[in-house]
Amino acid sequence: MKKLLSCVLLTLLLLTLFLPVYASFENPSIVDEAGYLMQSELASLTEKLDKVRNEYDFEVAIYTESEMTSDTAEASADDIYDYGGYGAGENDDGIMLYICRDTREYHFTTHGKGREYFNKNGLIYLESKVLPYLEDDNYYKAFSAYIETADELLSMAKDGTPYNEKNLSTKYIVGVVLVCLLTPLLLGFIMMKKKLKKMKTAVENDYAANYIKPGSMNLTTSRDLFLYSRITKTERPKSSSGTHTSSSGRTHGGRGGSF
Amino acid sequence: MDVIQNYKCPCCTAPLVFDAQTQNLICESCDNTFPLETMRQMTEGSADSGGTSKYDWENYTPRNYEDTNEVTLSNYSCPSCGAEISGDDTLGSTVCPYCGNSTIVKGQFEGTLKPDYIIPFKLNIKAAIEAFEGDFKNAPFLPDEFKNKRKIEEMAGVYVPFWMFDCDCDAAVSYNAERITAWSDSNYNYTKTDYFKLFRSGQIGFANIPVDASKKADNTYMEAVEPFNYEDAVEFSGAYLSGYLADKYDVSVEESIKRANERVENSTIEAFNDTTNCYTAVIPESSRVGFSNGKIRYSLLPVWMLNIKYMDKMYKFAINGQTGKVVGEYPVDNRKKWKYFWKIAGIAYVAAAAVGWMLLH
Repeated sequence: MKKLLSCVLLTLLLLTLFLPVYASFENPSIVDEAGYLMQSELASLTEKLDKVRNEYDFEVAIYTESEMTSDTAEASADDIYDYGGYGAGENDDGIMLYICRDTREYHFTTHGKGREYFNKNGLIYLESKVLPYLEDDNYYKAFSAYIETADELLSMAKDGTPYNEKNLSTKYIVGVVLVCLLTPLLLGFIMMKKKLKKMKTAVENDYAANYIKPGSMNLTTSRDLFLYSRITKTERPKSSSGTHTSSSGRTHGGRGGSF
Repeated sequence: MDVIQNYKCPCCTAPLVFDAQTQNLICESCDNTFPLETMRQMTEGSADSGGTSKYDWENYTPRNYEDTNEVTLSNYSCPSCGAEISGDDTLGSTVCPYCGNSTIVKGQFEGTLKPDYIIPFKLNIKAAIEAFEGDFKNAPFLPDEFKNKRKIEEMAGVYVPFWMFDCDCDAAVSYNAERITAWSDSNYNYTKTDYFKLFRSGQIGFANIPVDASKKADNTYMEAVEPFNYEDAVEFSGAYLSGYLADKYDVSVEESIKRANERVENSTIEAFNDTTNCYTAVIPESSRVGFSNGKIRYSLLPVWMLNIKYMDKMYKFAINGQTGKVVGEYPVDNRKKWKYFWKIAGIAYVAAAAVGWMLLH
């Protein structure tokens, strides 16, 4: 009996040791109102999220809904984060991935230290890992990629160097360098040619506008016929990122778009 | 007998068919719909502007020059370029104003056709040189040595023969025009292009369009030295030639009319273009310009001709003897030219480096 009591007490003691960590997260790490996930997937993701957020004492959450609760995905994500009690520590540090099923929009909202750990370039990197799966409607893989990448970035932040690299392709870098090298030469050449024109003023005059009799122009027909219209649409850049103030007055970072 | 009118789609040129339900013409190829009245007006307008241009110039009747004893004239001929010019018998100049050759031969005045009008020189030689030197500031790459060490080989006031053309034009022009509007929603950027057919017709008048009537005077220089203010033109008198040279025409009216037609037609279309402002793009499709009341006069206009030697090369300039406008081709200082190039490129490199840094970091 004493042995059993000792075991219970020991278990309670051990639990008490871990309680402060678990107690800082009151909200479920994942809410799937949109119904993207099966129960087994939900359980698996919950486990992964809880592991990450407990390891770093940092909120990492996912929230999906079928209809947008605010005007924009950004406002919806911010409001859910602010009014839903998300965040860790005094500053409610964290990141949340929000998805609206009807409009097929997503938004990463960051708060507190989350704005530093998941800065503009970090969010671009995170988005590059998640978006391909969202576009394929493979939500489980998208959320798994989100958790793994968040883990990766938080690990870097923990080591004192938050991810802040631009994901630039070689083609892009070469393009920028070439444009920066050639544009000044081209501009200099165009301006020089423009000035050179002034050196030769003996040029033909193909017009006789100087010799129009004043007031002699009489327009007898001026007819504009509308024929047809063509409308073209191009997809807007899918993502935007930056710092903003939410409806609660708190400052959020974030990035989002449609898929 | 009635003619069946077949309309073609302005968008894809497929045949249009009449839709009884909407009472419109529809294109089964691109799904556009066109009101019947619009297509009828378009066909009428196209027929009007697509016609052939007509040029109606009256015949020029030459008048022989009669010696009025106002001034004694001599003929000068240049064995180098073949110029035949007349001038005051007492004129000291012995250099050809067109090519700078100094072996000009003085001969007996043989008479010439009498000009209708003349615009007398307003700038004397001193004022012409001042106008020329004042023009240096407009030539950015002019060598400094040219300003100081140039040698004026020859400077002569020449009355250059011009055919002057007056006419009234009746024109019709059709255009294809586009108006582009753009807007966005949360997911897409939209661009709407409205296509129009524009028709303009009306009248416009021209007076005193000069066309160089001398083969020796470079047409390019003579057109560049315009405009002349014809309000100063007076009835020709030999007295105005005193102290100046006078060339006589050797380009016929028939040869000059072509150039006058070109310039009138270009300016008529340009004037009509100015009435199509509210579109993003306007492209002239067809035009018809009819000339009427075409009058031709023979006039002498005042031009100072300069031949300047610099670095063993001859540079030719012309100065409008009425307005002081200078035209020609200045020598280029390559050092100044490339210095300017690198100055602009250097400033641009600083800006490009800043932009590049922002794009890559």
